[in-house]
Amino acid sequence: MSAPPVPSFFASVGAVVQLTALRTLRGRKLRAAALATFVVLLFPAVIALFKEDADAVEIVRGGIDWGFFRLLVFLLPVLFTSGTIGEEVEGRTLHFLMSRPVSRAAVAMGKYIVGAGASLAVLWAGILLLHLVGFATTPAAMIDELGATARAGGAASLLVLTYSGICLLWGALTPGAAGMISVVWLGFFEWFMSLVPSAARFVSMNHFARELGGLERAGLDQWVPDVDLWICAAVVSAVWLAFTSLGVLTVQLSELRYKA
Amino acid sequence: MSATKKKRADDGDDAISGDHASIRAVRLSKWYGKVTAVADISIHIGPGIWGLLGPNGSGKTTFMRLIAGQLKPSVGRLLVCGDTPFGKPEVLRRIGYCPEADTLYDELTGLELVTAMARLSGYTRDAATKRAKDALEEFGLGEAMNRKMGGYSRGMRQRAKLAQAVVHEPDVLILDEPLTGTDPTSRQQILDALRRRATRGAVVLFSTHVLPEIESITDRLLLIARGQLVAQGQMQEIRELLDEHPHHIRVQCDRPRDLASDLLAHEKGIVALHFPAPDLLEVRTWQPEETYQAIAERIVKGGYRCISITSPDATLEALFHYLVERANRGAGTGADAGSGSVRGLQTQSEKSAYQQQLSPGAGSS
Repeated sequence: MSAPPVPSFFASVGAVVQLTALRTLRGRKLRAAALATFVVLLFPAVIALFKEDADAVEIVRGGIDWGFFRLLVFLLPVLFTSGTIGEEVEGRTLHFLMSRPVSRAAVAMGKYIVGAGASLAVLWAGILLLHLVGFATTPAAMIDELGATARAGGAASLLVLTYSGICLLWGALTPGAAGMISVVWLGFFEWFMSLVPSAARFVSMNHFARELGGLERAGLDQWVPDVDLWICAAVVSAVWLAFTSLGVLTVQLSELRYKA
Repeated sequence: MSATKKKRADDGDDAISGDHASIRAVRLSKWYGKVTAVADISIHIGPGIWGLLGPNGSGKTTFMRLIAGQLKPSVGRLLVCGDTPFGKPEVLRRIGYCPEADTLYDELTGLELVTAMARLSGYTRDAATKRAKDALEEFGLGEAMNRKMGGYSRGMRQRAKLAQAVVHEPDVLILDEPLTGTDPTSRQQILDALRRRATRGAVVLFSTHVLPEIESITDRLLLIARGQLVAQGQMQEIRELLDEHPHHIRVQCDRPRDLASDLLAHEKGIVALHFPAPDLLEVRTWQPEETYQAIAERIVKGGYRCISITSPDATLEALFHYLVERANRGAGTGADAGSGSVRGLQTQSEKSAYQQQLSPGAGSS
């Protein structure tokens, strides 16, 4: 027999990324994400293009705040990452990957990279389009605003990576209900808790990312202590790495059985 | 192929130590919560084709998924090519697995799937593509390889699954119901491909619940029922066992109790009589041919109005139940099966004991 040597971890991750990316590109999720982004962009675009005294800078900031930090950063990871393991378990296609000489961690990592990567691609495409809409109405002001948009986009990206890690973990722990549990988790700990007063909102990474992105505080912002930006970045990054590592570890150790 | 490997392939059980192509299970069990899927299986098999036969829900798939490294044993030890398969890429690279479920990545073409699987097995891009094409052509998918699998027929999907299982030339090939949905031509292609690999020294274990499928490719059988390995051996031994198994004959007629009296008065070898319905007579006999003939004669002579004569034993289900009952009585166990032989009811006293066990059922006379 002539079975080749076991591929390296990175080669394995690369092969999983290639396969998963191909499936994602041909699947419905990308189209659904594009549609959601289009809808999010539609409202600010209509105001910017058709309201005479519209302030493009405010519209872009508002669009990033409401459309991206309060909607798409939640929607995209749930769409692309929460089901990435569960769909294969329930669809019984995980056999094909798990019977190969690659570690389960490599499979999880490859799927995370594609899920998070697709979320980031859609997110940045949306942010750039939003900025272009503003640029079309008030070019000079939007050139000055480019730095702020990039900063907000960077913070949203970190948030997307973190939420993708959370979705990966729930996808590994509860393949059959990953989407629902991810939505409940993100809805409560991330969205709701980002609106409460006092230091209780430190539970939410959304709060830290908003600080990092230079956005105004949302909800009841009384008694919320100020935190240095580097601490905000460190906290969100630590949570991102913790959830992602736990998700990968769970896949590595689990049988990921389907219901017979 | 080296002379050693050829010898190993020919010898079958003899060459199954170390890291050679082999499967070894020692008191292997797997349960899901309170449900026992595989119970105390001990086997030791080497190169060649092995049929895993068992009724639906008997534990075949769980047993195969354990071997394929998809599941962890709950208890016991399982070695494939000398090492435990779960989470071990070094072992998994030597295993090819074709799952039973009719699920594929429908958005991909056959070539893309098999190439991706070859890449995951460690081949470079070019080598993977070449191997994928060869594997798909071997299973008759040369023309369809660039079509999306969502449009494949059931048989084509089955062959695509087989192609991905063999693309890396594994030493141990685990095939769960590989012939499902295939037409006679592709069935022959598949069987030829399996024979070629067995000749090269691979262990090919394939499951089915249809006896003739196994008969067409191998005479080496593992019988599994209710999670237990109830027998292991040659097809001939299984056939003999079938002959020893008390046969059921079901007669639907107008006066079943009169017919039963007639039969009891004249016929030997009848173990028990049942009346499952007012117009039904069920006969259990050690001598099926003689009993069939006797029933026919009595029906003609007695002027009975007969609607049907059938045998519920047409499937292997009855044999499995019989073997399980026997295993439960201690006459045959997984360990016994692991010795590589099928042990039927050898003595008259064993037959008598079995007859006694069958007789006291409700409605028997």
